[in-house]
Amino acid sequence: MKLTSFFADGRERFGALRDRSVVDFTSHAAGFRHAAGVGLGSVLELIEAGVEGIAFAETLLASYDRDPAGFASYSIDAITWRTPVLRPSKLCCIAFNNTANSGRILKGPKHPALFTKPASALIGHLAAIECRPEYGRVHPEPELAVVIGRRAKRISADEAYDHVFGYTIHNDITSPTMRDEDTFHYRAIHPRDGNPLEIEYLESWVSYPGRYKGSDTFACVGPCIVTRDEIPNPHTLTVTCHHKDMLVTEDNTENLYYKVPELLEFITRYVTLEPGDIISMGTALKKSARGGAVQNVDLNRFGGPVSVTIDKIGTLTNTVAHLNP
Amino acid sequence: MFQLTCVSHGPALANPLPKPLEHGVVAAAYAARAAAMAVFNPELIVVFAPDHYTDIHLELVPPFCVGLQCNAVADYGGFAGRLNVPSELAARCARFLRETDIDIAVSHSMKVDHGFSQPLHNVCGGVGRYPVLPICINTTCNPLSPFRRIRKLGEAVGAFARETGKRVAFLASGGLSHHPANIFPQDLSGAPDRVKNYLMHGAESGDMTVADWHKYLGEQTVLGGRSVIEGRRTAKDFRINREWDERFLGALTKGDYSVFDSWDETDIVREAGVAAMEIQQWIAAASAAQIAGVQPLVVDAHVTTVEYRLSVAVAHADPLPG
Repeated sequence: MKLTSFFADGRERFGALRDRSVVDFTSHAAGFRHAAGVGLGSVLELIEAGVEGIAFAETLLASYDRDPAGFASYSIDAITWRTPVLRPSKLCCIAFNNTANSGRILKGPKHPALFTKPASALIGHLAAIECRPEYGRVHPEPELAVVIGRRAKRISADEAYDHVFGYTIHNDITSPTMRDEDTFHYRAIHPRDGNPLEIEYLESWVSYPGRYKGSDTFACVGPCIVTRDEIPNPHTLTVTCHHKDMLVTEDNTENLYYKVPELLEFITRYVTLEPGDIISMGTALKKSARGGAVQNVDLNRFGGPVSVTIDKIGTLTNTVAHLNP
Repeated sequence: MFQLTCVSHGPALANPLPKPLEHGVVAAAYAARAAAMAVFNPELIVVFAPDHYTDIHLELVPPFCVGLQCNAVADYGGFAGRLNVPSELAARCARFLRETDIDIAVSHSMKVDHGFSQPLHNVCGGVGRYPVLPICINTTCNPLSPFRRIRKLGEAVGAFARETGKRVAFLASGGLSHHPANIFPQDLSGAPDRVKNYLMHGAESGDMTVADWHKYLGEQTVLGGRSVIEGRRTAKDFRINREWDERFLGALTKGDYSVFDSWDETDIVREAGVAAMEIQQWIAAASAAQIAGVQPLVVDAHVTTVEYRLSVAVAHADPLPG
């Protein structure tokens, strides 16, 4: 099942994709509550309802297949796409999580490196990535994203998939210019080795990704969430990224260094994941046969559109809007 | 156009403690029925369900009763609120049934508990969401009605539903095998005086208010859960009987509801517990739906885990095509 959120006919809606249409669940779900009292009126609420939400949605879709006349449905060309979960509590992104990176890392952690992006950075399929002159270079990063189904705190790798609702696509828009600007090369203060009452200065680097990863529109997510049952193994999926008509990268999720189970175990040791949260698995960056890299795609300079395609999920396309300073 | 939904109810079903591993199966089956109800979008829901001494007490027990106005109380596992009863239609139903030799009682101010409100909430999205015709079949206080009369009642309601010209959903609430005899004793001699007086006269007795009774039921539900956790009571104590359930569900899916005419209450209570008689709610609703016109009945879920202290089942019959 492919679930998404969208705007049509003057209101926000949600539903499931069928061919080139979106079947609207909004009116059928209005007012319904599952046993624990949570409503079923959005993709997030369906996720929170667990097996009940899935059963509810599957039954609606089966009813549509039997008798489409009982439903409103919209052509995918006639809707405004939203991110499937409108406002997840967070996006957790994994840095340098591709086997191709190992040769590039001069010094780094021996475990996954995690950063978060705010929900205010989210935009859906076909929405415009906002670029301003001061952003400098802005490039895409095509990533498989995991959507959390059940709250996860300190879970084991064995349990990880039980907490996965499904998968979507995240184009992790990045400004290396702002990254350079927001990186400090400084002298960090530490307790002196051997005498904790005194301090010493150690040369260090630190970078704060609030702007270069978290600016508005820097998290393109969609076009839909594919439920976990349709992707039994998320580490066999081809990921491609196109800029305009040019294939930039072609990679496979088997090349992700840390896989879903170990990542969820690691992340939830520190951060509780809530239903609807998005885990972005890391950039698929293997260059296409024609060469180039995502870092060569300066959206601020060359504009869009930029697309990310992942097997069994679909294609997420976004345009670029150049705004004034 | 008509549709049938049959579900179990129970205080422990709303908030199972302990929660059984199979809870997801049950919850998903309820949710699927909720979605089907939303798609069907009924103009009227006829609910067949029992009372648990919220409104009906031993001093006066109608075998069946239709509510012309109805409120759901806030009991343990229930959902309070005013049911959306079209009074005139309900009165018309009562007259129709009596003309068909079914002497149904009426209540101008019916009060219902989780027997009605739980399926209305879980399957229909709330007690007041759709117009509802509440029909209470006494499956709690002895003596009960014979199965033949229950079938006849259902068939008459089905015929009435056809006459309305409306899109009608039939909703049955109850069963399957379970034996809460300590809470709803058939023999009052062992019951504490205050409980005995309440069961006989209700709040009029002065010993218990309705709120006290619901508190008592909630406490008993929690104690029942604790007895399972501590291993003091097992499925056998609750007379949860999968084989008997399957015999019932098997007969129900065959669609000849006259086979139940010969089912004997004593045998049922011995094999499947006092509250297994709530299958009469299912038989009435299924008979109504069959006369009105639906597809064959399908069982969606059947779980006999002891944690619920009852055997839980969900079944439905889809509308006829077209």
